[in-house]
Amino acid sequence: MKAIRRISVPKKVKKDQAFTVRTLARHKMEPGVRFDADRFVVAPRHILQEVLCHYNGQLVFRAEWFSAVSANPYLTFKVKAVESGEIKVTWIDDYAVQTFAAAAIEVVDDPKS
Amino acid sequence: MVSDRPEGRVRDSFKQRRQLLVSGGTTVIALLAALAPRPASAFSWRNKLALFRRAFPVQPDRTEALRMVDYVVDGRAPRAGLVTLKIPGLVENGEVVPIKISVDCAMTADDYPQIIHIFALDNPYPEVARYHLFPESGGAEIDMRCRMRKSSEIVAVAEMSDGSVGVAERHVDVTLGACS
Amino acid sequence: MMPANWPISAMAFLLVFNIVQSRADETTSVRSGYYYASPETKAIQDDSFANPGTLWVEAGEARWNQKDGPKDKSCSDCHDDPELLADAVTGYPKYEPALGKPLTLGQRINRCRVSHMGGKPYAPESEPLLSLEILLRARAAGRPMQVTIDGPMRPTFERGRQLYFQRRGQFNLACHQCHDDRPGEFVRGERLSEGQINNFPSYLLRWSGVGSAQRRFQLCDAQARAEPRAIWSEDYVALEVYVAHRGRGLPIEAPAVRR
Repeated sequence: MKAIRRISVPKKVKKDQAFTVRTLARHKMEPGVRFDADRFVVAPRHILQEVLCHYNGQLVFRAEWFSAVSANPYLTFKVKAVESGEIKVTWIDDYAVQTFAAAAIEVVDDPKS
Repeated sequence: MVSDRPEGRVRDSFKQRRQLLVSGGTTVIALLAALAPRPASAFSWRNKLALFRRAFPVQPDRTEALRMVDYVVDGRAPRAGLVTLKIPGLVENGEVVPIKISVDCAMTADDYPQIIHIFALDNPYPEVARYHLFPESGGAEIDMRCRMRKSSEIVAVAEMSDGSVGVAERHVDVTLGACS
Repeated sequence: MMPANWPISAMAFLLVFNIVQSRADETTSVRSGYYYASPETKAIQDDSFANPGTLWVEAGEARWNQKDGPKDKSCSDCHDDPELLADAVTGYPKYEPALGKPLTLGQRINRCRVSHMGGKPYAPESEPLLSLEILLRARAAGRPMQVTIDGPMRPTFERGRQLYFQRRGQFNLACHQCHDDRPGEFVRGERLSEGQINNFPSYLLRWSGVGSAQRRFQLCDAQARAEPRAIWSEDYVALEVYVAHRGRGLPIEAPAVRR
């Protein structure tokens, strides 16, 4: 299954204002707690364990997930606009496989732009 | 050891008979066990050989979950009105329970939630998620979707940078549980 | 006490009443399952960013342009844009003269793969097949379902109708008892819908993924404690023809989210 990672940020934000980053990842998030009639676990746990958000290289948000997070996990959080640049979200799963999604953000009233 | 004394011979024959009975009995029991009716599941070599898959289901333990919450709160008195949880009172399917957590704070270095813990009290593993925020976050508003096995409470604990905590709890009725 | 012209008024009333009633029988108002879903489920479907079904549509778009099979062809080589097939999609399940039986959209995609691309058919309910199916339905979203039941489709339609009214399972339930007589009422905390399939293949929360109407029929059978039949079995295809015709006029909803 292709790993689809989605991110959405507003295109332009005023400086020092908090904007919302919306993310959606395609992942089964197999919890490993489902058992069939013969007490065999249906599938072992395989979930996205950690979500990191880097704003121009600086960590601004970190999430630790457990097996109770829904499949195809949806996450929304806020980041304060400081300077124009890149919002990069990293998802790390149980086997330390990293997937990314990034979006560009433009901050107005900014001496750089 | 066979002895010439008549008692020894009788004792040996008893031993032989006992051995015969034990071995015969074991065979019979083994045969019965082999022929006994099995649960009606499809045979597969994968199941036969993958013994590691035979595990013990973790049962939900509400006392243990509350103990986890108490461990995080660590005896501190929760600040009222700090954490708000927005969850629907009734969800159609426990697979997707939309949660909205917001912490009412200034998001400065001495007033921001360092960690926000989310617990589902009647889940087999009560921890749902942990969110680490920074002053650069600008706001403490998180939207997520979680799984709940049965109708229970969702507890959110926010550990602030100044050492205080905020706790919010909401009861959710789940029509069809997840992971069951 | 009664007015002198009461026979005439009475006859006029009965005449109008009969006309109105027969119109009601002809155009039964049908409602999509969206109407019966909870507000939270509706919110997930409406938000195109957060709707998990769109992940399958995206995968379908990638697969549409992907070359496959010994002839090294992709769907886009023959069909160009999936939107061009939108009107055709509204008519499924459709009769296939070469095989002498109706095919569901999934079966038709497989037939394309075998006969035109020279490849192997996708397994039923497999991820590639569902991605393509939901992509086609998403491009046809909003168009009304119109399944024809004349001519060669008539026997299948009749068989489907027979199955719809047939009691089955340990609960001895027939489809019409819940979906015709009691939509909107509750069965053990779950709200019954009319059982329309205008939204399939749909993302179902209980599956944490996308499934077709065939898979939903299997679940229906299991819920009535009946033995579920195989995907694309004759009975289920006939049932899909009947239920699709029953919901004629409903706009296709894709990607939809149901519980």
